[in-house]
Amino acid sequence: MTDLRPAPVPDPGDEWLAARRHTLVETLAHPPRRLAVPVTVAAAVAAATTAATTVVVVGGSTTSAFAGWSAAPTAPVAEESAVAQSACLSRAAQAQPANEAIRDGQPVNKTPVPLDTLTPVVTDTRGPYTVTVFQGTGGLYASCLTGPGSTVSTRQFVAPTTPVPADQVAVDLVAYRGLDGGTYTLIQGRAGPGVEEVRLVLDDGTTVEATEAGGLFVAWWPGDEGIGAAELTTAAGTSTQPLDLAGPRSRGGQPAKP
Amino acid sequence: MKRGRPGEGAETGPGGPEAFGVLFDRHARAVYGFCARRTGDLGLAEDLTSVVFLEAWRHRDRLEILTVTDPLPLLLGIANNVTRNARRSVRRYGAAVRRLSPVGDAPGADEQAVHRVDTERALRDALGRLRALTAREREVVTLVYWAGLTYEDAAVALRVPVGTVRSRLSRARAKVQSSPHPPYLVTKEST
Repeated sequence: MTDLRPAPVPDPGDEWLAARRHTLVETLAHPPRRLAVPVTVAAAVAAATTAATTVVVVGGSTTSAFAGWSAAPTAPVAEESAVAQSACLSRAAQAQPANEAIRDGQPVNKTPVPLDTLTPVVTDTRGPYTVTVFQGTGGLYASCLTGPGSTVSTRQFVAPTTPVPADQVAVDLVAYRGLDGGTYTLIQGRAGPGVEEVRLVLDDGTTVEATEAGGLFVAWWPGDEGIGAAELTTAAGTSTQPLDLAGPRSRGGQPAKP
Repeated sequence: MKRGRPGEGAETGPGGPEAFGVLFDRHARAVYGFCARRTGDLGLAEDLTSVVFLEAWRHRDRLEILTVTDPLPLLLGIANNVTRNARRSVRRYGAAVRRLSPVGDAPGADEQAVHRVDTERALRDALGRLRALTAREREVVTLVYWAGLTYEDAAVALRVPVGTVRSRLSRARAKVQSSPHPPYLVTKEST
C-alpha cells in the first residue's frame, strides 16, 4: 500500500533562519566572485556528478583542545553546573535580537525562543566541560556545551513525540561543532522504558558512556567519529542496538578550515 | 522599479539584498521543508535552502522574483531544480554556502550539520513511497501534495501548462493505487 502523504519536517528554528538571513544579505551585498557569473538554473543542475560537501564541520580536527575530557561522565559540581546553565541562557539571550531581524516593516511570523520556559533537565559533566540540556514547552529542547572560558549553544529542536520502544533508544540529534579550536560531536536522544545505561560505540571502537536523566540521554566526544551502535544496559542484561550514524567524513563531507 | 544587474551586490533599492532578506524571511521555511522532503537529508536541505536563494538572486531579473505577487512557486521551482542533483548544486556554491553557514561561537551560530535520525528516516520512507512514479510525476506530486501548491502554481514552478500538471498527477494517482483515497487527495482533486 502506498500513499502520497508528506513526512513532517521539523521547523529549522528562528535562530537558524535569522543567522542565514543575515549572512545571505551580507553575501549578496558583497558577493564572492562565483555569484557574479550568471548561469542558468537548468545548467546548474543538468550535469550529473557525485560527491560534494553535505556536512561541514566547524573548527579543526585536533582533539587536544578538549584536555580533561573523559569517555565516562564525571561527577557534576553543583556550583559549576549552575554557572554553565547561566552561561547557556546568557548565550541564548544574546541570540534573541537576531530573531527579531525583521526588515522594511514587513510582518514576518517569527517566534522568539521562549527562554523563560527552558528548564535544565540533563547535565553531562566531563572534566572541565559541561553539556546542559534544557527542555522548553511543546517538546522543545536546547543544549549547549560550556568549557573553560567558552560557551557554544546548539540549535533548539523539537523532539519527535513517538514513544521509544522498551529497551531501546531513539537518537534525536547528532551535531558537529567547534570549540576552542577543536571539533566535537554531540548526541542527544531518548531512552525507552527499561534502559538503565547507554554507551555509544564509535566507529573507531571507542566507547563513550552517556548521561541519562528523565528518559533523555546525552553524550559528546572530541572529533567527528561516527556512531556505530549503542550498548544498552537493562534489567535483562546488555544488548547492542545498531545506529550506523556515519560521521561527516564518511558521508563525503570535508572538515572546514579552522 | 529599480533593477540590479546579476552579480551587482551593492544595491540598496527595492531590488537589493535587503529585499531578498525579506523574501528569505517569508519563504525560507517553505523552501527548507521542500528541500528536506525531496532529499531526506536535513543538513543537505539547509545548504540547499541557501542555494535556492542564491539562484533566485542570480536570476532575479529574468524571473522577476521580487515583483510577482507570490514568488513561492518560482522559489520552489528553483528548489525543484537544485534538488534534482542536490549535492552538485551545493558543491557549485561551495564557497558561498559555507559563507552562509554561520560558524564559530557567535550568537545565533548554528551547528553545521544536524542529523535528526528519526525524522530523516521518515522523510526517506516517504520518498521511497514515490519510487513507482517517474521523475516528472514525482516533481508534481511533491509540489502539489507535499508543498501545497495549487495546480496553477505548480505549473508556474515547473514552467509547464497546467494541463500537464493535471495529467501527471492523474497518472501518479493511478500508479499509487492507494486504498481509499486519502482525504488530502480528495481535497486537491476538488480544487
